[in-house]
Amino acid sequence: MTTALASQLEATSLSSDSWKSQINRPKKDLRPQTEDVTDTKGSEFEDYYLKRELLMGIFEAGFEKPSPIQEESIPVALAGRDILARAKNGTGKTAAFVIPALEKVNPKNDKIQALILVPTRELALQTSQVCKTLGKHLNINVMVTTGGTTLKDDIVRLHDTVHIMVGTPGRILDLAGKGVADFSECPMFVMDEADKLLSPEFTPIIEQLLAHFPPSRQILLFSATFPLIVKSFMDKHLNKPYEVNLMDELTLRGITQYYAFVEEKQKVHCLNTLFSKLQINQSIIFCNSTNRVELLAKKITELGYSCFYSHARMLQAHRNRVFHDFRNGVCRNLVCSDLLTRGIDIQAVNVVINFDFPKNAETYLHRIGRSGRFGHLGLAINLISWDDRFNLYKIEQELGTEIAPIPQTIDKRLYVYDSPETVPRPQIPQQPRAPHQQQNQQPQQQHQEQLQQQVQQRLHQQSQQQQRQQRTPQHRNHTQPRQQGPRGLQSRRA
Amino acid sequence: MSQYIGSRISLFSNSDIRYVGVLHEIDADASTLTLKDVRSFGTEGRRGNPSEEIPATDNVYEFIVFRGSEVKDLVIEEEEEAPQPSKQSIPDDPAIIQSAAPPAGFRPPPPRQYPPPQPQQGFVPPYYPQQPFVPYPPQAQYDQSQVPVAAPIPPPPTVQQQRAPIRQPAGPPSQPATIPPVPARETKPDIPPVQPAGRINVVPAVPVPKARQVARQHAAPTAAQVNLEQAHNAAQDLLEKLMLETPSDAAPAAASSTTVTPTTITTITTTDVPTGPARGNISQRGFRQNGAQRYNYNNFVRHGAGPRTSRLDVPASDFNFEESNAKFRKDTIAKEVSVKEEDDAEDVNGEESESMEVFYDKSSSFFDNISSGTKERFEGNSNERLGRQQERQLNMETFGQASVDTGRYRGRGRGRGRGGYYGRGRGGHGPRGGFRSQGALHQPEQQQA
Repeated sequence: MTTALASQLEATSLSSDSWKSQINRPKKDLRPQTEDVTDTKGSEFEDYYLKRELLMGIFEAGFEKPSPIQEESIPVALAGRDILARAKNGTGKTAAFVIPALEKVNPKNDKIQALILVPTRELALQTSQVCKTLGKHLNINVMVTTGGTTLKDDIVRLHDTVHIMVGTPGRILDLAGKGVADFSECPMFVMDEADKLLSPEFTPIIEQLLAHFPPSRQILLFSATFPLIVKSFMDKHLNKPYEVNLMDELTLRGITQYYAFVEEKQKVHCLNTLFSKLQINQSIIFCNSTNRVELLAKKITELGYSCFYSHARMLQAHRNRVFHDFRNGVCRNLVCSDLLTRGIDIQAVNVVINFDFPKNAETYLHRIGRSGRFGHLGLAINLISWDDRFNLYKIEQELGTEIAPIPQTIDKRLYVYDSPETVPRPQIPQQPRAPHQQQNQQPQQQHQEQLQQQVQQRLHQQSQQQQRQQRTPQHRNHTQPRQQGPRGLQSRRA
Repeated sequence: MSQYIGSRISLFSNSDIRYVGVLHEIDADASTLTLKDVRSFGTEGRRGNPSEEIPATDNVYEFIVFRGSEVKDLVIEEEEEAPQPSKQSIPDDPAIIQSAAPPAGFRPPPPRQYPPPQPQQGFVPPYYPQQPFVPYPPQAQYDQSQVPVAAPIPPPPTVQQQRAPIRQPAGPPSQPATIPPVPARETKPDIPPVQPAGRINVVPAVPVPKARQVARQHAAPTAAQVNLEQAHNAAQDLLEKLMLETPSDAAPAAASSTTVTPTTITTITTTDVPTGPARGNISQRGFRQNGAQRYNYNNFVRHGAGPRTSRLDVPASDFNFEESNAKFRKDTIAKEVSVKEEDDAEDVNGEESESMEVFYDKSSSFFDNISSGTKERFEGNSNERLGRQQERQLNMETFGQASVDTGRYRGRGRGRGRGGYYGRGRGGHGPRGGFRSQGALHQPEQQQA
């Protein structure tokens, strides 16, 4: 008996990498990658002495070796220094701060131990997913909170333990200001897309939020663009930040950029032709206004292609659903406004189309960075009208890049994935709804979560009813019959 | 010449006003020519007398019907010109034009209905020149060249022109301001009843507006031009040439009888208060359309024109990228930009040109200096957002409709986000979420974990 136990103990001991062999890795992504992500020093994730559960999460997510930005940031972040990190779109910035955050969180401590701030709600969802995916063996509670949801739900949620909070600034400040979210012992403050968060409209919120943190907090700033305008914030709040800059140039090497000169009225025709000629795995199509997003989505469906659309004027629940479904490959094309310009990581996107050319270089850079994720190849196609010519010139100059006229045929090697089935999809099969990590949680916690879920559902139903009640009288005000009836009905049923 | 239908054209009236628009229709019977999406660039100094100059306006008129006899010259604009294969690419069909015609008071019958024998009776309209107005500062520059108009100008045929949506204030619209009066045009009589002009200058692609204008004004003969023979009535002749078939003998007579009123203009956007020639001083009036009028227009078009969704016909054939890109020479933009920057520099009193700026250099700074929304807002030059009306126009051009919610009530002048259509949309009418190809899906309403 004892010998059996002893031998069992021996077998499970620190011995070697036996745990690694048990890891359920996803299919290897065989697509070629550019040096934007392969140009590393050769580190391994094991080099950072991470918790084994974290390493398991990392490998199970399909990560193999740290990307350059991860290599540079993880050890420094683990050491507790402030970081100012700049790396290209889709080269692994998220994991570069999520991994240290997960490593440093103590699950036995009930306080919020890391705040990850992002500029958009979709990005908050995505980032929290990454936290959950990488930390799925850690018993760490991740909460995502954004505007556009019921504050009450968040308050209820915060009665339970939250270790890592991911969200957009307004809502988080709201919760902090109400004393519901306690950051007084939160040692880590991360800003993804930091330049956006430090733009003039956000800065006051950020500064108020920082006041809720202990003076010793560590601040990590990540982005692909850092305009000079954010420097004053850094000087004021960062303590001898460690600078990481992995951008020799601004644009990704894997993305081939083309323009097609069109008249405004030819844009839809042009897009139609692109759809028929290109081998689109998934595409994101950008318009410059919410109205145009809807108009284009309508035209695309009239042309017989499927598409989703998303923009800031939509109900958050619909935005979430579109985002979630598009990530899961439910639909090939997504038409959107600049809402989804930053940070959105959908590996299967191999074509970005600027149906409307952006007005500035920053927007352009982030938009085209939606394809060619993690060093893979992708296309960016810009429809250029006569009025866009100066912006085309300006953006080329500023980014030091070339946007070439679109050739009659585009070399498939530039963007077509031979084996799309190995392209990573979002890892977590569950929906981004509340009770996520229960698999690894204590029974007690599960119970709490169930209760909480019930409460939330009730609250949600109530708020929906309220909305419905508010809606009804408005219908009566319509002098025109609504023409969108059928569409509305369908989806309400769905 | 019907292949020029759909081309963007500069039209010079006998009053020396230049209009730019897309050639929409040529009616040989009525001796008229219809431009679409038209803007006026004014006289641009062609009258040679600053006091008589008529300024450009920013209005874009959807359609203007011109009297052939009063057309002095036509120039194909190179940017969008290149003879279009067919009418297909024109989103508007005549039926819509008709229904979208201006209110009865000052509307000429729709082009198709002109009684051929005496075109001008149905057609010589009360004649309401559009008001040149001074919309916003950049435009005000025109005033320098045209100062108060003392004597009533002979009905300035007006104007309207558009060169693609007015999305870029820095672009073409501001160009004329920098162009001094052109001597070449001075020699022409102000309002010659019959001006030999049966000529189409086909200016080759030179995407630099300035260069183009110079070429047209000074060196018109040297530009590749198709010089069509002159006829007894220049304009009529022109029209005949434009039509492949050249009918009509009646037209010349008709045309010659219209000497008093120069180019006749009608547009469906004529919401400006009509001002007859007698009122004179038109160029001084710089007033602008107000919002209500615009709404009227929108409503009118929307309801009057029936389903707009069909307006945009997408050709079944593939878009020809090569041909289209051939119309655009990227390398010439740099020159245009430098010219523009010089002008800008002059305007702001020699502020340093930014052309040599370093936008990002890893070795010298962690930070970049590329253009961004933040920077634009910070520097106060965020003209990136289109005005609502401008966007509607742009949407019409792109999609054949101004917004998805056609036919729905939109409160007049009501703000978008507050209780109008969008407010209700947020209230949760169904699926703003996209056109879905699949049915029931999970609803990630609760995002917490």
